[in-house]
Amino acid sequence: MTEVALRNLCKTYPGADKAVVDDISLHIKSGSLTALLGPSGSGKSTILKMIAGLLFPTSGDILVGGHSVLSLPPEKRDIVLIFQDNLLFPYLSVAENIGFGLRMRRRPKAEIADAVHAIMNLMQIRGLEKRKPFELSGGQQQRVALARALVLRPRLLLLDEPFSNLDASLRLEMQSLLKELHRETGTTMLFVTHDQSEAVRLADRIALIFHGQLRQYDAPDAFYNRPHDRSVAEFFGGRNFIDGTLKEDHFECALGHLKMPADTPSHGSILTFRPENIIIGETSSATNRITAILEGRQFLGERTILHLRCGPAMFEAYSSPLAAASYVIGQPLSVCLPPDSLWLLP
Amino acid sequence: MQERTHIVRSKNGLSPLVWLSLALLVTWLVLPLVPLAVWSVSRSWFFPDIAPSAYSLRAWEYVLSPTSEVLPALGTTLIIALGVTILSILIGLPAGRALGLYRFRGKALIELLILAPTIVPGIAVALGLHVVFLKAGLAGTMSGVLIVHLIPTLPYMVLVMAGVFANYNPDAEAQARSLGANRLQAFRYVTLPAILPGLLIGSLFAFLVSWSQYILTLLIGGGRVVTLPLLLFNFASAGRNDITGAIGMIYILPGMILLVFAARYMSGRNQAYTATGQI
Repeated sequence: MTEVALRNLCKTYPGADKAVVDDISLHIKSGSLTALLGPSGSGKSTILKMIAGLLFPTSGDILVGGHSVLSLPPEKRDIVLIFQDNLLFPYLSVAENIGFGLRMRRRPKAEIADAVHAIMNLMQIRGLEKRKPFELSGGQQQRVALARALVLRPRLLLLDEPFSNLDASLRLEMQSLLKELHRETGTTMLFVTHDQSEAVRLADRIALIFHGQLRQYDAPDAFYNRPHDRSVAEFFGGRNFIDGTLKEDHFECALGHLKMPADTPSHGSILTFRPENIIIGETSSATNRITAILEGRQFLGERTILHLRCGPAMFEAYSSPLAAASYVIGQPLSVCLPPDSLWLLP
Repeated sequence: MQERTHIVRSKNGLSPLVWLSLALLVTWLVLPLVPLAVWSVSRSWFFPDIAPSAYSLRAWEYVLSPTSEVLPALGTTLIIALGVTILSILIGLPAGRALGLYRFRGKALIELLILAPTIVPGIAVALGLHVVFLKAGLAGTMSGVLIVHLIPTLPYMVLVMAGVFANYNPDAEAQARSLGANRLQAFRYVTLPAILPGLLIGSLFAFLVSWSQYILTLLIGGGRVVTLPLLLFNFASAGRNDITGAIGMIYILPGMILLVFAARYMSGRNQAYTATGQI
């Protein structure tokens, strides 16, 4: 079992007055695919390097499989970190790059050759054995970097912004490859990204980090429907924030008297809801039905944003472009806010 | 494709351009040495004769005989030059790494201090150092000469290595560590191949600068540490052109060997060189 536990992990670089990683505690389940998400400079890569043993924490502990790994040098941790720019060794061939870790472990040549052959089959990069890294495409380099790590069967695989340097279509391809490899190998994986859509697409759980502090650690959908605070909601593209007061199971605000879901937090004064969960037009449900004036719209291709006003409050809703085109600016629209789509922020 | 190679290559397989460069190289490097070689086998050669009137091998006999100091001096020069090269690597590699990779307070000052010996005349430094070395018991010893040779060699080594490390990504070592390499293996398999071309050039400089050092050896060695340049100067100023020629031939040998080696290395045929790309 390779569950990973970070306990009150802190890192302050010498000479710096602020901590890069500020008291982070996190429990990562064995076999999971977890994202460390946050804007650049939030300390995500520093966390990875500390787990890999390339940086030493200022305080706190890192437990892998229930044991502290802090006393182990990186090569003894059985944890592989894949750096952002692949960092394939330029003077080694593809096969030598993939076999590098096994060679450092002084495994017999035949065993290395077999393992390299097998992983190259799995990664669909057969035939590239003798090539040098600079002769490979970006996608091939990425596959070699993954193969070089996976051939070691590490108990934990760390990936630092693995796909940030790839173009959009290749990024999608590599994301599904990673997801597939995670399913096939069952390796516990932890990756760093600043792209929330990548985190949502890949991860079982996301740890959101701002300024070196853990803000929310949850399943991806929770960041949309149950964000901890306004900054979390905004990072995930939340646009609708309306002030008001909670009165038992109802929220009083400019939109009216809204019924809230059963798990509504008891302390909260900001109402939030996702624009994609708003139902425009007639529905059978009469709960939380309001009338809003269409103030403007913005065509985005696959959907159209409607800018709606209800009394002094402005909010946004998504609509299909076809339906949106039939609405007239200034027209009152019947809007339904399903109770389960509403959430309160402190 | 075959058609084109046919045009470029002459009958013996070398292109005219290669022939021209070879000819230039010979003119530039070998021609000035011809008089030296002729002197070493001449008995009498007087102005304005174009060739010596009599030949003899007595200069070579003397130079190679156990009574002359030439062969021990060759050994001394070699040991000092190799020692200086090794010390230059041991000091210059970490120093160059720090200067090339990191920014820190006073970096410009340190760079200036490292460069200083190439600007300040060596004799001025050596005269001052002589007193210090006398007190330290290093004057007149081989170790003293070895240490003082570092003054002119270190700037080259440090600056070459700083240039190499400025284009070097230290994350490659971290990546190797994470893949299971220990410190030594990471250096051996990742750092060394990347810096090897620069390291060889720096070593080449260090070796040759030490090899050709006269003033510092004379002042600090005090005549007790005898190297080839010292002998060469003695015989040249004594007017023994034949012996000077013979010692000169021995003296240029390592330079020639290193030059051929460096030329082969720089031609890009070496695997490590092509691999490191930008360096």
